[in-house]
Amino acid sequence: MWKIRYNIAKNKKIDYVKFALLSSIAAVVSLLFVMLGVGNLWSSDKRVREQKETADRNEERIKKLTEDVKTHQEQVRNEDSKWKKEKNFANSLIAQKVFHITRELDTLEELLPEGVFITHMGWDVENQSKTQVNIAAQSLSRLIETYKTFSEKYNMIRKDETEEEGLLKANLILNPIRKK
Amino acid sequence: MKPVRMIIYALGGLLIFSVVFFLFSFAYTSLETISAQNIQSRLTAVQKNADKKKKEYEEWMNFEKNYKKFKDNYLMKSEQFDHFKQELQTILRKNGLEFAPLKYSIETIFPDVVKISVRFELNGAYENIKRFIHEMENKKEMILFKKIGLTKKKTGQTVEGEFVMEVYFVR
Repeated sequence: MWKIRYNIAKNKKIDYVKFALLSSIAAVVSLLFVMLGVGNLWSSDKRVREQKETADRNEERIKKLTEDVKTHQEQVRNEDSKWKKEKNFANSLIAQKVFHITRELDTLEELLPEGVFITHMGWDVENQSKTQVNIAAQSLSRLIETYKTFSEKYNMIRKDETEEEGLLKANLILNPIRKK
Repeated sequence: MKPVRMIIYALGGLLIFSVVFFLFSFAYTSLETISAQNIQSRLTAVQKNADKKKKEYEEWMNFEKNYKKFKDNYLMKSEQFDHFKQELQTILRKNGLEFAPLKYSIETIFPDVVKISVRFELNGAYENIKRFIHEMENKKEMILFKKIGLTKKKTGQTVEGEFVMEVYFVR
């Protein structure tokens, strides 16, 4: 059997001076951390308390506003059901009133190339933005040019394209392109 | 050996505690600030919504008054119907337009509001028809073109027009 020659006891001897120094440093550092923590809580205590008070006040205000919103919504619902027909009636009239056919006529006049004329145009204001236009062109190139200029302002549906009495005729439905 | 070990444990514990306490003090104040800021931003959003709803509510509370104002300002009085008929014919004539007799039909929209539809056909120069439309469109009252059809006559420079107008009267 092997014999252990290493004397464990000699390593158990404590250097008390070193130990006291390290312990003091640890105690001072701990104290420093505690003081910093306390100092931090102390200095921000007033601010935190104010923030808490404001937050509590805000919470109260949120509660009150939410109640108000609920009450207002309820009243609006009541009024809406009471006046719904009248509101829709007035809004529909206003919407129709702001649609100006003369403005549409001006636009068509501006867009129409030379050598092309309109034989019929119609509006159904229920369907206010749609314009039905029948055109007659003296040549194919004029007709194509008309399509091109109309396409810049309108979504165009071509319905019938015929040739009569030397004129190229087309029935179009024009729907203004809405700018986003 | 035991007291030394106890001192080591005590000092280690104290050090850990002090560090944790120090970190907690920062975390606590930061959390309180964040929480207050969150409540503040929630309040701003709720306030905005409440203002919107209040405005909507106030508009509704004023609806009856505004609707009355709308009727007073933009709907003709029923007593003005004869005057309207005459005026329409005067404007047509003034613009050099030939027209067939105007046909009127009446529909009650609300107990106090009636709609009168006017159907007529006319004949005249394009520019004159356009001027007539312009003149009617610029009236303050609710005189609306419901349907318009303009067709160029095969012979001559004139245009045939088919019109349906709607006029609203308040009793």
